[in-house]
Amino acid sequence: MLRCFLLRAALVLTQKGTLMLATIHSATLNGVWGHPVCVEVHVANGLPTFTIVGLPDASCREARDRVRSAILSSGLDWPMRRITVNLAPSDVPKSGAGLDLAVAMGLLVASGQLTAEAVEDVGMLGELGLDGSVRSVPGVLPLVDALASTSVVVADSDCVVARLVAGGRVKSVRTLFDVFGALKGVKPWPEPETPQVASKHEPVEDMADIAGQPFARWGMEVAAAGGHHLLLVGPPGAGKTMLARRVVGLLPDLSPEEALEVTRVHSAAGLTLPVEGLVQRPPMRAPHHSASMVSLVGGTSRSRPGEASCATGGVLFLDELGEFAPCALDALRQPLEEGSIRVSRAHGMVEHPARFLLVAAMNPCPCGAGDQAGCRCSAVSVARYQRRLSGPFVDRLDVVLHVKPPDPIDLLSVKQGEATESIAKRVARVRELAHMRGVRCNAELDGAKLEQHTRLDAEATAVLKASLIENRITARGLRRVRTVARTIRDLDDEGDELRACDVLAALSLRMNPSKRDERG
Amino acid sequence: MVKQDTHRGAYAAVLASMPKAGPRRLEKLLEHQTPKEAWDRLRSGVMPDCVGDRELRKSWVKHCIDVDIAEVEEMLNRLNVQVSTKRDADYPARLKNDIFPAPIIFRQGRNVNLRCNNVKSCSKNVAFDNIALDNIVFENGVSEHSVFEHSRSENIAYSELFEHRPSVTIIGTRRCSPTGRSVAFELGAGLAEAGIVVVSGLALGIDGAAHRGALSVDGAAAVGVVGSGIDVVYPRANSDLWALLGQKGTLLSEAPLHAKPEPWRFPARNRLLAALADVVVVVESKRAGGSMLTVEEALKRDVTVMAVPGSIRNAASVGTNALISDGCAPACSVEDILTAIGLSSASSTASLGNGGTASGSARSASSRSASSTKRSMKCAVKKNTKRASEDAVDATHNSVNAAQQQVLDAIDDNPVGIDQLMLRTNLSVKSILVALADLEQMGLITQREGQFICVNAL
Repeated sequence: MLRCFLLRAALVLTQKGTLMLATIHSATLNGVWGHPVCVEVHVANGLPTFTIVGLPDASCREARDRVRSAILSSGLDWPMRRITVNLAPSDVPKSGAGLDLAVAMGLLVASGQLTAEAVEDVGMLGELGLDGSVRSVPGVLPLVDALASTSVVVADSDCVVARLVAGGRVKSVRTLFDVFGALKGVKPWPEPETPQVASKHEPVEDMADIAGQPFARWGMEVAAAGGHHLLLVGPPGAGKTMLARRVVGLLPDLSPEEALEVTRVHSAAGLTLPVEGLVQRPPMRAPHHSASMVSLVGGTSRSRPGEASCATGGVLFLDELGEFAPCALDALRQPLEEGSIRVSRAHGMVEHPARFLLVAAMNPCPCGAGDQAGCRCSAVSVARYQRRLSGPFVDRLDVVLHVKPPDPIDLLSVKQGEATESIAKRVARVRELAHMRGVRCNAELDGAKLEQHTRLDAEATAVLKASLIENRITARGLRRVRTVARTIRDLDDEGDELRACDVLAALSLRMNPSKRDERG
Repeated sequence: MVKQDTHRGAYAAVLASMPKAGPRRLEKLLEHQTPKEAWDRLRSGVMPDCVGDRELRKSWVKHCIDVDIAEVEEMLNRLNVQVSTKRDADYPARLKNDIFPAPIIFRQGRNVNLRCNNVKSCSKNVAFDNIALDNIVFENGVSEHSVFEHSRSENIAYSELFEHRPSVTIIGTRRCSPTGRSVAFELGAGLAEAGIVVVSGLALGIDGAAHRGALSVDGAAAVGVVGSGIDVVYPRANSDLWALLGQKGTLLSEAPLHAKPEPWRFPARNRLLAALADVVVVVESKRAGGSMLTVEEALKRDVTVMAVPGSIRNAASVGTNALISDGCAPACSVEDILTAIGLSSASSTASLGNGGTASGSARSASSRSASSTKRSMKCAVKKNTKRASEDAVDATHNSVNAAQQQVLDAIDDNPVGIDQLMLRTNLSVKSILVALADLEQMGLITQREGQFICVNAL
């Protein structure tokens, strides 16, 4: 293909004396994956115009002004001729300014300032400034991953992240002239700026700060250890948010594969990545309750990942759960069950990873006080408030904790609770056991693995059978109860078979559907 | 004549469903004429002089001309709803001379014949409306159709229900505590067992629990007074109770059929609750609310008001405790209420025959001890009513293991969270959870919003 182009180019060269066509490799984002793009630049005689075709979005179409200024600022020549840029394949929508550098290099080749051989097998990713500087691009990790060329040119600030997947193939540059000079052979590739010493992880909020709340602590430990979705219910000021923010600290570091996946999603979403490039700690995302469905699950016009995907590998914290739009919450049902979101939009379908641990907090009723503490709500408004969470959504919440304000004695005592560090050790041990069973965490046990690893003794079977008959749990609930019971047993003594007490404890952590609207 | 008689209820029903036809206007309209006469006059275009507004009078005339009386009749029959006015024999006698008249009353459900005062035989001599007859299935499976006579005497018997048999209205907040719920249930059951008519408002919370308690007793006289039309179930959560009362008990309403549960109808309903009662018992109430309105209505009518004392920590008991400090008599047991009616344990034994209060004197002695009041009530109810669940509780009580007993001991009358249980018992979270699950299964404790309370301590 390329050879064919070069032959044609050579033909044009012999006819007119200058090369008029150039092809540069670059990539564009589709969801959290890169899509390779060939930037073809054609320079022909005629009235001086600059057209970009091949489904560019607005920011991509504006490349012409940035490219023109950048080329002139770098002291290079701007061809006063008819310029056509085609972004192939032309049916894939292109977005963002990441193709600027490729367009500029294509122009330099097509106008004869560089040879076609120099840019052969070099991928270009970067946004141009008017002064000719090369700037970073959101999603550089998946973009570099999508490029198969032997070297990839990226902005200096993107170098660390790009090297995570492309290693030595990455050339980092600061200005357009750096690229031009290096490809021309007049100056070497600039040395990448040595990244600052990897900063220590920002201090996590410690469980030792929590006064009292022994039951909530235990429930959080179970949720973190098994990856079971957690709901905290309680009046304002009981410490729900404080507890919820500390769940992420209990989770172990991400495995290398997980870290890469999380970094890929964060890169694609344009989030700030850590100095060392790779996201190693589980992330926590806490969208405000005004969040729309699209902002949670993703799938804007650019198919950007939503908050749920950004929380993959970590914690999605929904504070004031009752205030979220019901449709936004119900959209989370698929990721809660499957760990991924398939978003279909007019321009195609993308699949985003979304294996997060949901941590939600809400008040028991609109006034917040709850049953015993002088609630001012009418029975109807309480029922309406609780109906906001659909039954299927609640069915996916494995650990429901009622948090009461801590005892005043606990609150003023100097004795600290157990620190995050020591709880995290137990959590890590349970996660290790899950890895040995071939899953990331116990909550993912399913099918044959569920049968194999959550065997029940006779008494436990009887308990579950009774619960099923009484409609206390659904068929999905049954699977989830077994996984929670597995986690509880793992935390306890790592025994093989699940006993009745494990199952009973797991059952009592669930919200009992019949308890939801009590009748007179 | 016969035709007119069959339409009797339908005329009143049409009048009640006229626009803005409240109790006062209807009372004036029906002061000197029967519903049939009023309907005839309105149809012939005679404007009633009881309404000042000309437009409204016109709309009344139009309403009477438009509505098909046969259709209304058919609907009343289909729903098995009786309509009565003060002139009718089956109009509740207690409402006849009330300070705020209820000129038209809709009723669904059975009549209780009180020719005998014996509770046991009473349940066998119950007279039913001829249509309701087919719906009733006796629990012993024996059909006793032969006992009933399809005569108008059954309607007279209905009014006797309120004339000769004491009735107690049990009211309380919709947002009650588990304690309040079960107290209302046990009072309802205990009073019904003693042959008292149990009246309540079919709302969520206390009202519903009182009805459920009363209906748990065979042959009980349970009356529900509702704010909406009898065919408009409100609240929906109590639809089962609504149907049950329509079959085994009695539903009363002042509102015409299809009437929505509009807010103004409930205070009006509350006055009926007060007017129908010998004693009004408030189980749990906030400082203000529907229950307090009923109490005011009761005081206007010189009806005794009693209140169930509650914990000072219970927000739902603030109103009842305030009532008690205002001088209202505390209702700590079924016995207390019976005494207030004038049926002490001894006299009730006499007047009600072998009404299942054989242990009455023993109880009245023990109920003097303040500390054991609650226990004694439980005891009384348990002896009076034969409820399977109570027996089951007794059976399982022996099989409580050490950990469960420890947890049970740590749970008292006030709701307890798991955190407090951990402090009180020194058991691990897991063993507490397991013990709680088992105890809940046995019916010894109950939970709400993560707080546990001992059913047994009630």
